[in-house]
Amino acid sequence: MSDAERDEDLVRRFRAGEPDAFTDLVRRHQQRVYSLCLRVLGDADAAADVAQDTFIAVLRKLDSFRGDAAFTTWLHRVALNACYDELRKKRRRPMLHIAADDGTQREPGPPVLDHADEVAGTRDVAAALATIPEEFRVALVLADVQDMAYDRIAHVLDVPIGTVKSRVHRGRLALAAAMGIDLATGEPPARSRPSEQEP
Amino acid sequence: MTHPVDRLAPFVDGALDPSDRAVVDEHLRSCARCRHEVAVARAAREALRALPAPEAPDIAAQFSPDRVAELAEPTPVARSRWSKAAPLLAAAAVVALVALAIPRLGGSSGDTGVTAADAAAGADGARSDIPLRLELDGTDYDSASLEDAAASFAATQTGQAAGESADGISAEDQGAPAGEASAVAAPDQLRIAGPQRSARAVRCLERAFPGFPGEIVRIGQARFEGTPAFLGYVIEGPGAGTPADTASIWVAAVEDCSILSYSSASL
Repeated sequence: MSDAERDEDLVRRFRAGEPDAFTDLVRRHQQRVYSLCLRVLGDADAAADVAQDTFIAVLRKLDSFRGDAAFTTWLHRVALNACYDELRKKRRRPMLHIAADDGTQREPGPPVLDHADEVAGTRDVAAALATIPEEFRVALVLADVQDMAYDRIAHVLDVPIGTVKSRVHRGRLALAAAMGIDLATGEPPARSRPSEQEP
Repeated sequence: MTHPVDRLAPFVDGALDPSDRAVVDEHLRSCARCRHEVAVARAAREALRALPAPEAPDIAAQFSPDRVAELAEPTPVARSRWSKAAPLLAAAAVVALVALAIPRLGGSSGDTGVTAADAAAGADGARSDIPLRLELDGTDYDSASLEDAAASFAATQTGQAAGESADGISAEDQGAPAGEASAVAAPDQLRIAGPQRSARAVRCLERAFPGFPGEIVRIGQARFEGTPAFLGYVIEGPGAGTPADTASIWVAAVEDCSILSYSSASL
């Protein structure tokens, strides 16, 4: 049974009254959904919450899933909508200023990184990704993190495939600029080259 | 020179078929700019794909079969959202029907799309619990003007809060207060669509913003950066009976109900 057929089977079983089929669906897809949320939101805590919200939304909307597209395509769409909701809330949430012991104000810390991003070098990529425009970031995450084909990304985003390819290319250029990759050579910035960090 | 922008991403992926790849190769021989872009895009792609897979929390543990059965109970968000607004919306329906009976919106009924049949259908239509009427205006919004519109909408809601009504769809609210800037057309320029189209707009907005909190109190059709768009004017609050604190505008594409934009302002 293919992955798509396995998903369809679990959806069918859940609709037939087997709640454990939904638990299996979550187990099968939690890694992909969390990864998508983490790279789109750039914040591990928010990603965990939004991933959970995604599956609650999926549970409540499963009746409207008609099977015209693959379950994973529909799931990505629901997850992205939950991410957009979180980004929207974040945009209108006032910056929290924390009073230090001496009474001065300091800025809140950076977003909570995922454990895997604590590894030297990858933190820069993840942080740079969080700074590029949302439209490019989403296309880039679907293509280069989720490894999704362009035609499926077009389905998820409901845009023409040419738009997807253009966004991915522009997103890569934006990410490179945010990482400080030399636009003339394509080389990463000198500070991140291990050989130059050695004595 | 035309640059093959939509082929550069699959070129970097190595996913072009031989004939397309030959076209790009040929272009790259004479275009330094695209050569640089390909080199940079390749480096960014490699860096991104080298990111380690994050360690996902055990979300499935939150979805035990018992919990799934409990969550799957028929408590759709949209239904509860509308049921909370039902008393206000019912009152608004009376106001709207009275307003429709008075030819104060300008133009003929053919221009406005408002007919007695529409009014009757609005009372008996598929979504008769949502007597919102689609306001048509010719504005082509961008991010900045949408922010202005959200601020104007918030100001209108604040004004209402000072009065008695908070439904946002009475005839008086269809235009901006005199002397106050608003991106919404004034009443004499406003056209109202029929109930079927209005109901379609609500469905489209709900599809574009599934599960989003808030109550749609007004709907419009305009353009966003040239694309025909439905606008949902929404008031949101923290819930639990506390007053609404945010006015927002949802923007969804008419063609496919995808999200085009969003803007909000505090009340």
